Amino acid sequence: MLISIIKRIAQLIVTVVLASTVIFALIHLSGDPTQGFMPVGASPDVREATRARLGLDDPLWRQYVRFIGQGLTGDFGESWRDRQPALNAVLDRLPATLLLGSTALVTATVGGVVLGILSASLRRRSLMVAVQGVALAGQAIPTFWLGAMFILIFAVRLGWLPSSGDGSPTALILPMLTLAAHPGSIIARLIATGMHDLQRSNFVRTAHSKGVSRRNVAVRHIFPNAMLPVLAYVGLQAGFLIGGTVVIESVFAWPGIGRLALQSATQRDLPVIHAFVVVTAIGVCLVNLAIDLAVSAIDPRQRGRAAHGALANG
Amino acid sequence: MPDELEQAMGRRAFVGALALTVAGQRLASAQATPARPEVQPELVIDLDGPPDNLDPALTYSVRDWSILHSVYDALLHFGEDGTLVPLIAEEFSTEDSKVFHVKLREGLVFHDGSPVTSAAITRSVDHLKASESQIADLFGGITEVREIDELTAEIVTGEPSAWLPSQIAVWLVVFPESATPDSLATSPVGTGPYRFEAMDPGNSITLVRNEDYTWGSPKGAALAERVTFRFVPEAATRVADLTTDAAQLIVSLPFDQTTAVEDAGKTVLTEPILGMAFIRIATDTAPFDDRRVRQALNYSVDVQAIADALVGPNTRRLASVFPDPRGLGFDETLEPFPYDPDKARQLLAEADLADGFDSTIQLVAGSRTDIVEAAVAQLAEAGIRLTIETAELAAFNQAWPDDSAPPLRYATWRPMYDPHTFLSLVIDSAGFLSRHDNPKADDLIRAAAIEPDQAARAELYHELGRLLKDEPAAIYLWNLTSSYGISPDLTSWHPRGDEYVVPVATSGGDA
Amino acid sequence: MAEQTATLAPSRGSLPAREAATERRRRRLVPRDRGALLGLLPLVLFLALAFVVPVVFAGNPTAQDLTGRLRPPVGVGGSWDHPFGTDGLGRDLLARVAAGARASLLVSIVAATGAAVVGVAAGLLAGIRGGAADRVITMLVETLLAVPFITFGIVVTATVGQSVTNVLLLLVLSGWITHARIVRLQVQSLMRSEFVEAAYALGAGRSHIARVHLLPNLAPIIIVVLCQQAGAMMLWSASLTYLGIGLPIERITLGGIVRDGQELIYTAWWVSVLGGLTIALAVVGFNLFADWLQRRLDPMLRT
Repeated sequence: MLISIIKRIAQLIVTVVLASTVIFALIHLSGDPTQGFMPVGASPDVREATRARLGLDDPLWRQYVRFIGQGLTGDFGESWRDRQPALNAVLDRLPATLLLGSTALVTATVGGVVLGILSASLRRRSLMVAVQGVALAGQAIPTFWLGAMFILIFAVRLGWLPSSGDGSPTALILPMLTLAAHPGSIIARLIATGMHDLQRSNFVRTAHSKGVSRRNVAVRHIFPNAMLPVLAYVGLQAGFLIGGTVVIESVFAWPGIGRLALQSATQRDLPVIHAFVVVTAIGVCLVNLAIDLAVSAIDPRQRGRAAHGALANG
Repeated sequence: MPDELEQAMGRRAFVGALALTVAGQRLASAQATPARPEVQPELVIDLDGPPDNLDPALTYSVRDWSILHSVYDALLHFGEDGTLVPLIAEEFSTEDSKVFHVKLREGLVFHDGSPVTSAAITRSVDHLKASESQIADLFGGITEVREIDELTAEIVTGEPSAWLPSQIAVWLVVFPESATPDSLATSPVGTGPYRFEAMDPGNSITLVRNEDYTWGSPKGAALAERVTFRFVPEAATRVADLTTDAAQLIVSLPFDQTTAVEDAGKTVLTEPILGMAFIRIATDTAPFDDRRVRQALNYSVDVQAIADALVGPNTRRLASVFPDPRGLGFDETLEPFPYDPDKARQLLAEADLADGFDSTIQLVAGSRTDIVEAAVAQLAEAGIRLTIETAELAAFNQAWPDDSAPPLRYATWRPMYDPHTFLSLVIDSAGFLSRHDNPKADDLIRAAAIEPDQAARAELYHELGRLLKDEPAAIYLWNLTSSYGISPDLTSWHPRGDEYVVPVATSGGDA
Repeated sequence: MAEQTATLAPSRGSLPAREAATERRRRRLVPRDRGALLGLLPLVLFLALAFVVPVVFAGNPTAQDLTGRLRPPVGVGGSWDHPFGTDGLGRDLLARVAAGARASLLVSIVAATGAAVVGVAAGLLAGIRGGAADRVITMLVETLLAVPFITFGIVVTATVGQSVTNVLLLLVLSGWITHARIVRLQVQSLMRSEFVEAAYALGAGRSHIARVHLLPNLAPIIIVVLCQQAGAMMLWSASLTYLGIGLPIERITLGGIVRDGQELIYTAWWVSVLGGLTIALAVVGFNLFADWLQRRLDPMLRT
């Protein structure tokens, strides 16, 4: 496990440096960053003063070295736009995204597993098709459109739930469901396929032949093994899930880091984008560590192998 | 109150500024005591995004100023008819537009309890001129602030700057001595109708009523004990908030959603603002250096049809760059270009472009693409074949003066109580954003900038308006309007010409 | 991009022999012809919308009519002149959906193919060469997985600007990972197989082995993933469009139709609904098609 942690951390450092480099290059190679966060009418003199104050007139390599160093030490400096510590801007808004992301992930997993088991075990073909249809649809509908439809139906027409994040717990429901729809339906399909295959696999048949009860086989053997691909999926998608919240946060006015990232990119607020990238990379790293643990708990044979990271998981 | 006004106006030159924009009876209406409705306990306002900054020297958007002018007061204030009225200044006057005499009202206190003195003016001017300020240019002309006594001061400029009072009304708000760069950015303390209470980053800002705001401010009285500004970027979501009573006031209501708001029993307010929409034509490149081509562009677009379909009825068309009677330089005798594709083709033929030509038009990604698409389709019928190019906002702004950028760009500009900023940046050939080259226009703009008398300035701008009609600097579209959805019981709030959403009760300008 | 992972879970990949039997049994449970045909229906419908509609129906996707904007579709108050109604500029929505379907399809297929080419090359390189090449590719993959992809999308578009090329590059950049991971694992296991070892013993070079022995074995899984990604990319490019960072607005795309319709959701619901349903149809179509292909192509299942 220790090796797994060390490898994850090494990878984290590589990720942070590589991603920071790309972002640094894009922001700097695309013109004057002050155009993003200063008013359009600001004079060349005022812009020059700002560039000098932010060190933007240093040679690029020096800025780069400073930038990478800052990323690795967790000191991102001040936001170019509002001159508040960039890391705080991200951390202030992290809880909202974490709340949305984690509840959506739990909903997706629970909902997906239930749907998946239903679809694998239902005897009635019509029901099975219905469940599979829901899973297919959840995977195919653009999230921003689904969100708008949810608002139209549940907030405006029915008046059951608030349309945007107003701080009440009920405001979480619609964005959470919207965010969960896609991963949930994928998990459902993974579970359904996995259970279907496992039910007919050798080791399950062996268990059956040893006289273990159906129920016991399902709970002890089939289900945990069917969960392995789900865990691999969640680990792989952790980064994408955070990305997915950008869209949801815009639709539902949810005050998370996704909207902050979008706004900061528009304004070329490099310190905030930088902090955002590093914080999310750490988040993804932690999720994957947790998944390493879960996988080795379910399947001891995977121990050590899981540590090889994404490629080994596949 | 009328007495104070007379005192304030009694001094020479500045009267010009006020008298010229509108006739005398409208001045009186600005001063009509606002209705005093009962104060609501709670008010939620959906803005279309978070403010970029709260520090006065960094503010540059309507969202910023909505918060700014709820918490702070400036020396001057735009009345609902566009006239400048003294706010925390009891008197504000000038003889030569170089020395501005300010006398502050007695007994005003900041939210932290400290008194408002003339030192606050120096403090604010210094802050706006500081190197960290993004608007240092606008106040750079101020050479000194002389504090005469506790309540009187003189703001002195190097050259006549008759446009300065308009800038003062936007930016020169006063803050107490205890203010720090950090507090200005995160917990502003002013003298305004609301105290700042809390900020939930990216989500909301909460203000509470300032009980001491009882001195009959022309800005109006607070509407609610507690106001929450929420930031909701998606228009459909703002509408949902209003119709489900999660918000009582929403901004930037799209024209196509007005019926949904009305069907839900809410009120739609659509008001012209002091701003304009136009397609800027770069005159530094062929064929746009030929004024006949620029006229042809104006004749080829059926602006009225586009406005009726996509902006809303009663949209006022633009004849040149002076959009609104409340702003300086508006000329009601100047007629907008009619839609006349035959005339356009004839002009193009005269310019040896009988077969039309190809060019590119740029706009900000995510802005009104439908307007541009509609205009482009009409221009194509006259043989002007345009490719649409979207640019992200920062890139778009950077490209204003860039002579390798597309020669046409769809843009909007606001606020324009005083056209000086726009003209000196965009039309003057030396402007930072300019791709316009017309020596006659330069002369008029520079003359108006240092002309101390407002009536004389207005005359110069009228001449400029006629010039820019004949030798167009843009395809002139329309005077911008702003649409709000409000809860029907919110009768005492009225839209402002500058679009700031300050939750105060006002007379509505038609009293 | 989440969608394409259905096949790369640990227990799957190319199916070991034990599962081949179960797969055959499953196919016996589901009548092959009917199920297969039903599964292909959404894709056929989508393709018909994209390619048959413009032939049969004379609507012009760009012709504006400002006085005839927001006409409802036929059946809810509209007429057959505009079977899907009109959009905010009075343009025929059926023609626009059809044109958008073609453009979105093209983008998806080009991007999915590009992702496959890059991903397979990287996977082969990592799998055959091993060593430093393997470590570098693994590192790149890990990095891309850890950075929310949309961040790159935002920053690229915000800084470099919107263009078809940029969107394609972004989609390829996000898609190649899946191929690389799968191919690398498959290659590693194939390299240990008897026939590859035999080929090596006979003196075959690496590129020969890759071409003759590995690629044919990998082709089925690559094609399946490619189809899944084609659907996924349609969704993803729609999200980019929604955030204002997708294809240039002059391109008619399904994402653009839905985004425009979002503003009209209270007055002209059909714009976003018809656009959204078309996207969903395509994604479902590609997914079912990929399932069908998987059942047909898997080398272990060939009988």
